[in-house]
Amino acid sequence: MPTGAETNAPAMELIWESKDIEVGRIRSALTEQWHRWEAEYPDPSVIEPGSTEQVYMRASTVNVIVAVDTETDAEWAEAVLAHLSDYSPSRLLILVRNGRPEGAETYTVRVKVEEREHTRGVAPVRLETITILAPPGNDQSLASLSSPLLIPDLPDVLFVPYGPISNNTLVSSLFELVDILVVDTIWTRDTGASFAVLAGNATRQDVSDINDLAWSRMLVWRQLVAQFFDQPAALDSLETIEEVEILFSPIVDEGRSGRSAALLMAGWLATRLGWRAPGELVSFRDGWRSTLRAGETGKSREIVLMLSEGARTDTSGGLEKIRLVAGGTATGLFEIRRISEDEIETTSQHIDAAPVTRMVHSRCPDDRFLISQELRRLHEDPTYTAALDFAAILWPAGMDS
Amino acid sequence: MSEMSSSAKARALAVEAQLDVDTDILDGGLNGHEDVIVNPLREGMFQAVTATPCAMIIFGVSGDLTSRKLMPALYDLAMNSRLAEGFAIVGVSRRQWTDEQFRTEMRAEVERHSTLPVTDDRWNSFARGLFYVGGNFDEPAMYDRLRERLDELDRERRTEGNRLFYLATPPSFYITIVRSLGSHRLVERQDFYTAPRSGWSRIVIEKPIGHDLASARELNHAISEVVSEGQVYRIDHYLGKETVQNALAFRFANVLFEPVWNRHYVDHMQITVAESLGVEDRATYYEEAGALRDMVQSHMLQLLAIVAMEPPAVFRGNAVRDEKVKVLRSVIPPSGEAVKSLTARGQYAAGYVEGLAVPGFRQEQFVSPSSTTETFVALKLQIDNWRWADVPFYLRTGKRLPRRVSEIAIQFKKVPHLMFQAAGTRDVEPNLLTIRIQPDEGISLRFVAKIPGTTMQLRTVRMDFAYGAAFGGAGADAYERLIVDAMNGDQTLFARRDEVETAWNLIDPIEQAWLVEELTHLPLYEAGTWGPDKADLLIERDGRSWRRP
Repeated sequence: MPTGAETNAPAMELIWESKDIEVGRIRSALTEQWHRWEAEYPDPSVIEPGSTEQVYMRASTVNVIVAVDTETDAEWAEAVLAHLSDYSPSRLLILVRNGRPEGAETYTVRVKVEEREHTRGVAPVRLETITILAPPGNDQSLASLSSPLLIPDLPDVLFVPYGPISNNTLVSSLFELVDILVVDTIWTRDTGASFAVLAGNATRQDVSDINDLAWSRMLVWRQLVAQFFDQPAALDSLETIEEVEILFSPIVDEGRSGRSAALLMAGWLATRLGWRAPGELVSFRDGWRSTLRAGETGKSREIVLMLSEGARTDTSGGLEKIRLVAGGTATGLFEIRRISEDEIETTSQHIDAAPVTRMVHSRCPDDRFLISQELRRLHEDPTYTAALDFAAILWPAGMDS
Repeated sequence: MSEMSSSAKARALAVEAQLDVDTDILDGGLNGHEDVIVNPLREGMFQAVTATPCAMIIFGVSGDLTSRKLMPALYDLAMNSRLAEGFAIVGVSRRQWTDEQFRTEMRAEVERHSTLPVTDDRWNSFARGLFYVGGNFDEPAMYDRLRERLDELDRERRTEGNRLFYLATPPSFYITIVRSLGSHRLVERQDFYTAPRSGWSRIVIEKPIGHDLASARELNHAISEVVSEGQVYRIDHYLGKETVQNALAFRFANVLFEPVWNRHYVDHMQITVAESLGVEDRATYYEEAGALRDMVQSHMLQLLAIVAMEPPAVFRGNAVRDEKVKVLRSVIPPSGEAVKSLTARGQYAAGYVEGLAVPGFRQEQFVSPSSTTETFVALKLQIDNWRWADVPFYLRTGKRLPRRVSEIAIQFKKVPHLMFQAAGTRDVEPNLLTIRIQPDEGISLRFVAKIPGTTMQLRTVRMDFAYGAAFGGAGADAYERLIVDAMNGDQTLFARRDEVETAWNLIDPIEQAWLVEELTHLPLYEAGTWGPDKADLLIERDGRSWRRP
C-alpha cells in the first residue's frame, strides 16, 4: 500500500478568532498565504526560466468537507486527509460543531496552505485547509459556509468520520449540497440509528450518493466470496446455502468495531441471493442470529445467519471470518479467514471437486488508503445501498443499547 | 496526398481487398457471454474484476518474457486475489525440470521482478498452482503429456477445462505449436455461437506477428486453420497501458475535444516513441527486425489508430477494432520514390546518453560490424479520409535518443487572424495538446493567456493533467490487465488479424523501397541526439519542426 503524500515544505498558517465568520476574510487569508508561499518557496523544477511555458497550473481535484464534533476529531481528520496515500483534495473545509466551549461567543478560524507531492517528480497538489471551530448550536451557520468556501466546479465530498449521523443538523443540511457523503460506520455508536438515516436518504433522488468506508474495507472479502462461486461446479451451492457465520472485529480503539461491516456483509449476501429477513437479529449465545428465507412462499428454505464478535484486534474494524455452509444436493463449505494483518486464507470444498486452500495478500486497508479510493471513485455502489437496506432491517435503531 | 502515386494507391487498394477478415469474426469474438451475469455475487463488482477459472499454459516458460513480465504479473494478480480460486499455470519448455524445480526457478524471478513482497507462505500458496511439462515443441508425446496434466488439473485445481495457451516463444515456433495443439485436441475451434461457457480454449501470441505481410498472413492463416479469430489474442502491451486507454476516454468521453479533432483545426500530429537504451539483450532479434518492424508496425500504428479513429459505438471487442482497422486502411502506404521523401532512417553511432558514453550500434555485442539495420525511423503518413485529409502524421522512434519518452502531440492550427498586433504581439504559438504515455503520464494543453498588467501582452501557458497528481500512482501493469482480459475473453485491447495485416501492408512498401537504396547511405546519428539530419529535413520541408519532448 502506498505511503502518505509528502509535503515539500512546511505549511503556512493563519489563525484568528471572530464573532462572525467572514468569508471574504478567509478568502483573503488564503491568497495572502499563497503569496507568502511563492515568495518563500519558488519552485525551480516547475518554472523553467528559459521556457515559453512559464506558468504551471496544478491539478485541481476535489473539495472535501469534514463534519466532526470536537477539536480532537478535527485534528485526526486533518492529519488523515492531508496525508492521503495517493490522492489529495484541493480544498479541505473542516467544520467542528462543538469546537468551542458552550457559551463561547466567537469562532476560531484556521487557514492553512501547503503542497503535497504524491508521486516523485510529478507536480504537487496544492492543499488549502480551512478549519472552523464553532460553539455548540451553530450547525446551520456552519452549513451555510460550504457553498461560498468551496472551489467551484469541483466534486464536493462530505466526510463524516465518526458520526453522529442521526440527529445532526450540520450533516443533514450539508447532505443535500454535496455530491457524495462518505461515512465510516465502524465508529458509529448507534449503528441502527445511523443505518436507518443512511438507508432513508439512500432512496431519495434529491440528495447525494452515499458510501461507507466499512463497506469499502470489505471489498476484498466480497471479492473472495464471489470467487468461490465463479466455478460453475460451485454455483449450485449458492442455491443450497443453509448457514452463514460471520465473525467480526471486537470493539477496539475506543469504539471501532466490525459490527457494521458484518451487518453489511450479511445484507450484501442476502440481497444478491434473494434472501428475506423476518426481522431483526436476536441474541444467541455469544452473538446474534436470524433465520432468513429464500425462494418462493410455500417452497422456501431457511438460512441460518449468525454474527458474533471475534477475538482478533488487528482487523481495523473489519471482518475476521466468513463461513458459508451449503447442504442438500450441492453440499459445500466455503471459508475465508484473516490469518494475519497482511494475509487472508480461503478454503473451499464442494461435492464435485477437491478442496482448495490458498492465501492472498490483503493488508487491512488503513483509513488514508480507503479515503483516497473514495475520492478517486466518487460514486455510489448500488449494491451497497441494497445491502444497507437489509442491514437496517437486521439491526434497527436502538439495538446497540 | 500528392506524394502518393496513383499506381501505389491502386496497389494499396488491391492489397486491402485481399485483407478480408475471417467470416467468423462477429462482434465481440467469443465475448458474447460477458453480458450474462452467471454468478449473482458478481453483480456490481466493477472495481474487482477477477479472472475466470482456467489453466494458463506458457510455452517458452524458461525465457525472458516469462521471467520479467508474465510470472511476476501472475504472482501479483494471485496475491491481489484477481486470479480465480482455482487457477493453474503450466510451464512448457525444453528444460527437463520437475514441478518443484520449476517452482524454485520461478520464485527467484518473481522475487526479482514482482511488485509485492514474496514470503514463504505466500509463495507456497501461489506455487501450489504451478506445474511443469518438459519437452520439445515439435514432440508429439509432449502434447500428450500436457493434455493428461491439464485433465488432472481440471479435477485438482478446478480449472473447468478452460485453457489459455500463451506462446512466449520465438515466433518461429508459433505455427508448430498451434498446429500441434490442434492435432492433439488441446484446442478446438470455437465460434461465437457455439463457444461453451466452460471448456474454452484461447491462444495468446506476442509480437512480432510475422516479419512482413506475407509471413503475417501465413501465420494468421495457420492459426485460423486451428482456431477461430475469436480465440486469438495478439498482445501489444502498449494497448494495456493506462494512458493509451485514457486517450480513448479523453477523446470520446468529453464533448470538448472531438469537434476540433479533424482537418479543420488540427495542423498535424507528432507521435514519438523514444528510447534512451540501446539494443540491450535483443541484438539478435533487432538486427533482423529494425526500428520500422519492431516499433512502427505494432506500437506506433496502434497509437496512430487510437488518435485518428472514428468513435466506436461501444468500448468493446470488435466495435473498437473495426474502427482501428478502418483508419489504418485509410493510411496511404508510402511506396516507391515517395519513400525517400516520406521516411528517414538512421543508426546510432557512439555518443553520450544521460551523461554516459555509449557504444554505437555496430559495436554492440551480437551486432554485425557492418550492420545496416535502422535503429531510428521517422515517417510522414497521410490518412486519406474525410476527417484527416491533408493532415500529416509524423512518427518517429529510435534507440539511444536523448531520453525515454512516448507521447502523441496534436498541433492545432494558428488563429486565422491575430487582433493583438497593435499591442506588440506579432505572433502566438498555436494550441498544442500532448498526450504523455510515458513517463509523467498525463495530458497537457498549451494555450495563450494575457500576461497580467496594463498592456495586452500574451504568452503561452500550459494546463496540465498529471496522472500522478490527479489519481495518485499509475494503474495496473499492462501485462496484468491484458492477462485478465484474455482469461475473461475480452479482446478489446488485442490486435485483430486484419489490424496486423493492414499494418504490415503499410510497412512492406517502405522496406521494399529501402532495399533498393544504397545501403552504404544509411545515415548514422550520434547517440544522445534526436536522430539523423534527414529526419529534420522530412518535417522541415513542410515548414514544421519536431517537438522537443
